Amino acid sequence: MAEHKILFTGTMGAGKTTAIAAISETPPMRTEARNTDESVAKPTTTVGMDWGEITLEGGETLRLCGTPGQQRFAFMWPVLARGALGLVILIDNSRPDPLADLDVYLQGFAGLIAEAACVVAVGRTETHPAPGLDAFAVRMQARGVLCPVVPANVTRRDDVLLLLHLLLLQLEARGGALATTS
Amino acid sequence: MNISPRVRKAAEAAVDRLMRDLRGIKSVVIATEDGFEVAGHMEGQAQLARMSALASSLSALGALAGEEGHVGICEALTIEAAHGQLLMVRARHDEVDLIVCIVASRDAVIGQVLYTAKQVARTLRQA
Repeated sequence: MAEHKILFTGTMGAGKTTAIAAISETPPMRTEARNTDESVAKPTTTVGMDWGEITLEGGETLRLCGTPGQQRFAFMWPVLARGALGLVILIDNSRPDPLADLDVYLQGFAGLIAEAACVVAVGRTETHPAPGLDAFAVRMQARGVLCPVVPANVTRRDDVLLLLHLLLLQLEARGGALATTS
Repeated sequence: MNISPRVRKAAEAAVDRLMRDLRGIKSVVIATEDGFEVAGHMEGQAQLARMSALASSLSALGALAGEEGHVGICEALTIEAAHGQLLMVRARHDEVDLIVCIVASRDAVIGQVLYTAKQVARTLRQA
């Protein structure tokens, strides 16, 4: 049975590890280290990768791979992006400049975005509504990227599944034949 | 990053010892588990930062491989390359977990490097 890889990226604390844990059918593999960066109130941070799996309706397996978020780990990004069919960019709207954060990942994964499906998921919009989704769409358009931008709470399984659906729809539109997630 | 002067001083002393006592050492970095440099001997600050992050990722992947392979906790990781070796040893400290990362040329006696690196890690744990 075919296997495919979807990559989750975004800033530290945006919810990459949480998103994968929310939908993975197997216990996720994690590489978390004690966080010493005092600018982010978070006890641990991913320094290598996260890994999970989910089965599609057709029996195909989606491998869910999470990157470290910080730019000092950017050397891991192309390694993990290799062979991915889709990219989920998680944005934490409570951070000081979420649009600048988006730029980092649009640039860091430009090669993958040009070839694969992409969706941008904006988190913590309930408490931090600005910038709005339109601002992200405009920013992406200015960078020549056209992909869905949606609000998401990645602690909710349904929200994460919706992100996968959006990726799979793009792949189907391009002629792929992946079934949707159950 | 909040590292106490005591730990930082111990890390600097550890770097000095490794550079002084071992033959064929190209560079030494002592980094936090999450990839920030604490002390090091390497050409250029940027290289120090990159190697610290790299040591963090590799060490975490080594730990994951140990778990998944059911062979226990990974305390040391060795990478053999065409012109030398990279060696990473963990030093678990109450305040901050550290990684000792050594880049050695083919001239280095790798058993000696590993032995000394583990001694240094033990000293750091008690700092």
